[in-house]
Amino acid sequence: MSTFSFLETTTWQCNGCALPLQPAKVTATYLGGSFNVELMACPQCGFILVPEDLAVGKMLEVEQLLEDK
Amino acid sequence: MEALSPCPPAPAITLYEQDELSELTGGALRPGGIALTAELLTYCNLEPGSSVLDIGCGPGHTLNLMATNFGLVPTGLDPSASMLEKAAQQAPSAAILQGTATAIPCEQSCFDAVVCECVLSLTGDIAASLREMHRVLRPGGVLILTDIYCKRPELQPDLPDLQSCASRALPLDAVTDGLAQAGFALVSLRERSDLLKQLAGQIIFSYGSLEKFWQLFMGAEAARRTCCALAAAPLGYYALVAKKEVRHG
Amino acid sequence: MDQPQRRELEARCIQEEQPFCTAACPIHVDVRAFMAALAKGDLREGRKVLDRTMPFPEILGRLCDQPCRPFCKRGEIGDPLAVGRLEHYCVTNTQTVVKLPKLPAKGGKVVVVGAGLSGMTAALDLARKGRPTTLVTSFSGLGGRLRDFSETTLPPSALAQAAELLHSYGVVLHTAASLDPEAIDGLIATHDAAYFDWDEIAFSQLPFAANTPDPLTLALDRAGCFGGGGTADGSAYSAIKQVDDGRRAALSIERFLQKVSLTAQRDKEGRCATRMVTVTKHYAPAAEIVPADPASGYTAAEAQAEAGRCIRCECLECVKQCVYLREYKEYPKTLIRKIYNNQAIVQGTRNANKMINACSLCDQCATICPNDFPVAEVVRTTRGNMVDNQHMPPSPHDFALEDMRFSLSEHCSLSRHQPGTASSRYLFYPGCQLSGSAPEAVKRVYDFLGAQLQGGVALMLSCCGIPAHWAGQKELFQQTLDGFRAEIKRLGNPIVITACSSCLSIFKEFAAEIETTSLWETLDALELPTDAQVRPTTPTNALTLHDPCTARHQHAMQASVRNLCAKLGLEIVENPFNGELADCCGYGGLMQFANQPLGRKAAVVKAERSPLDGLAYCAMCRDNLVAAGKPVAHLLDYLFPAPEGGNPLARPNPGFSQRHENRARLKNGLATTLWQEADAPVAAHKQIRLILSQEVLDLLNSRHVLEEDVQRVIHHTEATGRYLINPANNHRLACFKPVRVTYWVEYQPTDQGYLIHTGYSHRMQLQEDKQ
Repeated sequence: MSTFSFLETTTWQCNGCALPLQPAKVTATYLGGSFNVELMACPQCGFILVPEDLAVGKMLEVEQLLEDK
Repeated sequence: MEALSPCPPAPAITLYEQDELSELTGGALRPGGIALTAELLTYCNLEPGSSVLDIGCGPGHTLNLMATNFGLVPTGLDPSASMLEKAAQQAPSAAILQGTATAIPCEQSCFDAVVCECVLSLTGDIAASLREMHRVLRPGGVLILTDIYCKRPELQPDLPDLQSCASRALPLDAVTDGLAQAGFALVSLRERSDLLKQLAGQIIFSYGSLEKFWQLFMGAEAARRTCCALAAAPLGYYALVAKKEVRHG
Repeated sequence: MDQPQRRELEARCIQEEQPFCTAACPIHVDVRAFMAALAKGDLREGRKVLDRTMPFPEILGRLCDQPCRPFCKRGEIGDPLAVGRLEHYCVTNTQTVVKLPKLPAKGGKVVVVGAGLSGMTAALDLARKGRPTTLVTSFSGLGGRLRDFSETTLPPSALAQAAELLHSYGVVLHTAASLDPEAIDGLIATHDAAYFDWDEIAFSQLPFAANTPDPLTLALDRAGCFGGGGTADGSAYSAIKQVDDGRRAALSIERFLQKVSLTAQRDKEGRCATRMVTVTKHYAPAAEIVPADPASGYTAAEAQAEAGRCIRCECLECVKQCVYLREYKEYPKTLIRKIYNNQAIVQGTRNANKMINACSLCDQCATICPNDFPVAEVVRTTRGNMVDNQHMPPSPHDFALEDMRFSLSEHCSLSRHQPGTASSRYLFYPGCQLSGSAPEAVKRVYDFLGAQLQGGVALMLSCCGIPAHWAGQKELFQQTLDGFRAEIKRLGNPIVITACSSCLSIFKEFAAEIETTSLWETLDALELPTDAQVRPTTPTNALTLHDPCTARHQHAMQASVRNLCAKLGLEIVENPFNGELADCCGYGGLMQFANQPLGRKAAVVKAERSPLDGLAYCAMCRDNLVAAGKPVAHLLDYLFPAPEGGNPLARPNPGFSQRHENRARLKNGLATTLWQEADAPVAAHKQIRLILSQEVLDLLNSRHVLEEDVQRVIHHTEATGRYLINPANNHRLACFKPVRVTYWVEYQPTDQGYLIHTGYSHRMQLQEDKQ
């Protein structure tokens, strides 16, 4: 399965680890659907950034699709 | 879907778009992708060296999988010359044939297995296709068949006449009846509508919405109608394995 | 709903009923479509319309006596349309466009005796049905009385065309036949059915005694013999009557030959009644356009102008007022059909569900409909079925139902006898939205009622459950009602005084054994609070009164509201969509949750019924109208003005978060001050102070992110120290998942509290792939 990359240059850094975010491969799941996505995350503690436009955009669309029976 | 190319009279799809789309599922734009094919081939446990016919082989990802990972001897069949050209490149060891499922250009009983993924509902004459598949299989040979099906047959007449597989989808019992009539015995039937949802989700992540995806294949108005029609008459996905009876019943 | 029920229901919607002209026309010409074509100057299209129903348009189009004209609705607002003249114009300027098909030949030989227009029509209709037909006349050609018209009135070419048409369908024409009784007897004997055209044949020529033919079937006393056409003693020749009879007789003969009932279900033949209703009051009167030169008839421009006067009669009265029906481009009959199909699927799919969940259930359409088409009932039942079959997606109603649960929880609910009493004659039930929107008003009202009414006034802060009712959540709704009933019983069955018309409608419908009344009727019967006389905030201009949709049938309440306004000296103006016709503000049916933009449209429509500022007495109406940009006050703002003053017309919409806060504070505040109960412990996260601009508040509101959710995120984050930081501006970004939803907040700590920049949420869960 292909990976959907939502990487973007970001100024956000992980405060706890004092490290800039790096691309990370993430699995996003909801109601049985499972998708490989690439998001920015902290290389040390693993805090994954979900950007606002992704959450209210494509992610919301897919959530609603999966909710329909 | 790769199988849209044999669908008459589908609009032309550029090679670029085909390639891009097929990336979505690791090489094959169909629910479950190449992973499902591998799963089904594993289940069938074919002897290396077995001859397998891939009906609607498209750019040849399945042919390559069969040759490389399973040591099978694949033959690809597709009505599209441009597809076959790509298949020849993807799977150089495979035999390539141009033709349709309703008139397979092969001798009878010459294959150990037939694979037909997400293509049957597009062949135009499902009964004829199943008969042909039966004919070219040796007795005891297996058929791997996956496709969409119509979950609400009573609504099918309400679907506008779309140039896509959605309007041809059969109810599941019509498929199993057709198999029995063609002389197949059902070995395993799995309901895999989750794969259809998965593919839809992947399409949304790539293109932003299902409607934008359909617009790649048809005009904006037809894309909108497709979405509405599919919303009204939902589809499911099945994956089955059947065997050609050794004695004709 | 089963098929027969559904058909009966669909039949109530009259949108598809025939317009008045078509119903009055014996052959049901689609005059409306004809006018539409001619209004565009499309003569060919107009001819097509005529070809489809008229036999011999080149004859009938010139001669028809227009029985439709008196029924033309345009006649109520000016002159009725000149249908005949326009048809004349059309047929004289076009040739046949549509030739109807001929069915395959069957048996059943028919003879038509007398080739007047009636006989010709019967012969044409029967030949088209595949019956071998012979047309017999004693004259040298066909036409009967038609041959007497002048050439200008009816050119010979018209008759020639008709003869050719009949010939093309295989009708055999015998001219110059002798038609004495013996000859006719012979014709009857050699055919399976016969039609006599009285235009040419007299009773005396029949070989059998004939009484007047049966008016329904045109049957004569001899089996298989039918008669029609001609003129009844002395009256003028009517071309359309010839055609009417000929067509009726052809249908009778067809039935006779098929050996089926001649009489069953023939009520739609010939002129018939229609249930169509068309409102004409919005049209300006317009006079008929008469040709400048009557001899040559219409010019193209004149014809177009006259046809343009057609108002295209249809109903759609409910659609004209309803944003929901307009949004989904349905009228009740088609809406029910769509819903029925979805119900038959019983499969949720997003578009279909959204449509089912977007109706406000306000019943305005049923009130407008001449036949009371009950859209709301069907939609709400459908929602209930979807919930029962587990096909209702969670998101449209989740938020509203959570809101309801919060109102029912111990944080917000309260149910007590009046302080210092142990029994109550009355109970004040403000409702969840008033408590959320104007908690101080609730306190003042309660104090007033407690002082003015004898026997004790209990207080219940709760939610009546209408969100569950609207969402189709029958079990949840039932539980809520049972809870209400139990509490009322525990408090000794007081009379329930509701401030909200929605609560009142629920209690009256589902808990009718409990005595309920509205706050407005109660106040109307009491002396007004004295400080209501001091009105620094009285508006200078009149206000338009907005009735809430759930008060539609509560006439006593509506009257009391108006009385109170009069007593206060508040000048109010009615708007055309008040009372029974009140619009929904968008809250009804949970419309604004299922389809937020549509909810906003509904509020705008309601607001724009009048250019004036508004007065509402439902908290949700007021808040939604204000959110739509209209200054609207609540009646309680004038009855129980706030001591600190302020302009009731300028009070903003509190939003969901503030409503939560208000309800909880109201309960806690009253519990401690009136009933001396201990302060409820405040959860740690609720002590977090948030600073939010109006813009951010609106954004969170529209995304259904509560301030409490924001507090939870920050509380969790500051405790764990896990957040992202933007070194450029020191903003922090963090997330927290209390139960199902993950909330994200971008914020900045300041001395005064946490400044919030944005907030959002998602349901998908993420896990890093460990490679």
